[in-house]
Amino acid sequence: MRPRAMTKAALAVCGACSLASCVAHPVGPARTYSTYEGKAVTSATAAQSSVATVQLVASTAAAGKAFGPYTVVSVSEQEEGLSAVEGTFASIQPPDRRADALRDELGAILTSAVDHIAEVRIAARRGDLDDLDRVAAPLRADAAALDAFVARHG
Amino acid sequence: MKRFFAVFLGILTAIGGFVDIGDLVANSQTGARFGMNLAWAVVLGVIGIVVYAEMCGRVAAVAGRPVFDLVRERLGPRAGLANLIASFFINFLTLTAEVAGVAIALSLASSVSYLLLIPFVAFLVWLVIWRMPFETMERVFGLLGLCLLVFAVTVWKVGPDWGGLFHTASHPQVPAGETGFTYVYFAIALFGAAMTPYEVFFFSSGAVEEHWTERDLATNRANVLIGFPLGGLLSLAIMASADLILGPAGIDVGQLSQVALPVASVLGRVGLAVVLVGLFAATFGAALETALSAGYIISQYMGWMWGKYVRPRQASRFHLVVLLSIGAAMIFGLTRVDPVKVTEYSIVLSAAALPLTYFPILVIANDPSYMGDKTNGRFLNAIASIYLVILIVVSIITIPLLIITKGGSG
Amino acid sequence: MTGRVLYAGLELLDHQLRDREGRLCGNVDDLEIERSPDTGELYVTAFVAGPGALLQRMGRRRLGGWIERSNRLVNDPERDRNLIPLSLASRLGPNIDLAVDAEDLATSDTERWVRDHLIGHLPGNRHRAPE
Repeated sequence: MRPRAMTKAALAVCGACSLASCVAHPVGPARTYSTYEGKAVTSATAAQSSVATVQLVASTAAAGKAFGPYTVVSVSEQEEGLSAVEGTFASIQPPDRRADALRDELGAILTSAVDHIAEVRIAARRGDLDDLDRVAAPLRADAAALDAFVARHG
Repeated sequence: MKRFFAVFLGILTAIGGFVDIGDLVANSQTGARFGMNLAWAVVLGVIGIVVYAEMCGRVAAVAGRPVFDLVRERLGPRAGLANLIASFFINFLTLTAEVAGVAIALSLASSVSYLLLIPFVAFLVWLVIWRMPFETMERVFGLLGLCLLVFAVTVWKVGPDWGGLFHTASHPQVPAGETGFTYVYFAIALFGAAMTPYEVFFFSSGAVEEHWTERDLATNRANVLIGFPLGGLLSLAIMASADLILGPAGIDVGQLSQVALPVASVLGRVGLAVVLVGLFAATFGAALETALSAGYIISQYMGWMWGKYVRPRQASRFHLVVLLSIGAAMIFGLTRVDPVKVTEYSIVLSAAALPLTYFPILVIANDPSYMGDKTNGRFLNAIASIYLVILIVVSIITIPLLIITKGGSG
Repeated sequence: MTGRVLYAGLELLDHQLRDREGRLCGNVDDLEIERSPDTGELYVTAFVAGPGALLQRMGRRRLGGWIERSNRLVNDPERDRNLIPLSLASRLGPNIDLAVDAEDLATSDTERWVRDHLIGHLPGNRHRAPE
């Protein structure tokens, strides 16, 4: 490749990559049920990770193994992340009625998970670290629901 | 005795300074997702950086010129410019990621939002570069980075099935739930995290900053041959800690806080405090290095006076580039771009761009008009040539893989 | 005229220039070449280094020319500042050593501007680096 072309290629790659890294992954409509189901499973899997993280952080903090700021920031990060996942999933246009049911089902689980994580965040911010295990207990049901969802549709 | 101590200190600094946010994120993510099935990629990367850094150090000590200085001279201004643009851009991404990483480490200790801390961190990075002597900078942050050894302590404390760990590492396979594409993609990420180009710009310029001569070659070799592999072992400890704690819990690493979680979970508050200090030191040290590298590569291409070994006013353009790069990285970080995503992109693109930095070094290290009788030996050239092939292959497949796996998530 | 025979592209172009105190002062961006009227041989008469020089060599004549003219207007409209006569070179090696101070060359023009208007205003800019 001639050097001038190389320079232009370098600039083009840089430009493309900078755009790619700045723009969030675009989520378009899902045209078929199976595509929609796939996106639902992706969202559910991401949620599983967030829920598991908060559970582990909560139990670690409750055992006196983590201090306040770390706990608060960790849980807040997961709360924001899961809210974003919930929002992204809700914005995908379901292709048919069958997909509607899927949307309602996962939507409910995600909302429940976000609410429970928010409760953990609130308790952590208040400094109730010892109590976090109890506050995080409802997340077990959310985790189970997510696992069942992924097992059924994944 | 004093010499031994100096060498020992140099090795410790090399170990502590080896890990940056790219290594932290890549090793933790792969540990959680792939267990130890990608340990070989770290080993491959470490051997590569050892070969690479030894050549750079030797070129700097013998020829008195750092790598990028010679890129324009040997490859010509057009190819050199293409190289400069690509290297500068990737270095800039890395700088942004490191600055954000420092801010996140501080926020985890203070619960102030990391976005609010980014301007403060950017100013601090600039101030340290402006005032702190080069060697002091290297020592302080390199030695503080040794706090990351707490990951090794974490793994040891868990008391894992060592046989099982070694078996997986030595008999790698694609785990269930992952595809061949994501497997290779993360191998490239680990490879790129170990062989970061800025290390080379910084290392070779630093050798000139510290006025290395041929007498320093032995020290250079000790640092590189002992320090870097131990740094690689530290990376594997990060991977193992994620494998043992995050993997079974089904946690996918998307935040720096999750990287530290195994340490807190196993070692408690003391461990957490130590790892946060280590996180701060590793990312801050790397931020210093990438900021300086931005100045080095542009100044060296243009032929400007550069370096911290002269008064700032004697290398004004160099310092201006450093200052503007830090400022731009700060602004980019403030756009709320995801620091972990930027880190992922920077290490993967670093891997793809490696031939650009590697090839000139290989050429110059073999050139007697620069190196005198200290050119590469045959054994080294054999390994180096194999690596050149690997790097070219990696370079070709990286962007397609990036697209196919949608940045590793596919 | 007699002179060394060199492969100018390899041994002169893009090499580092150093002034008489060893300070880095630019790269050789281009070469001024003349043909001897008697023998017809080509001689390098000067190095070309300074604002706009590299751009002109790489084909961006208008942009490079504009930069060079702007710089001349600011600094010294009379002569071609980017030309460094070969007679000023004291040694031709991997680095090209010149028998002048960096300050006298066009390659220091932007350095001087940045120093006087920006970096020179920051506290500590004269701070001596420890040995």
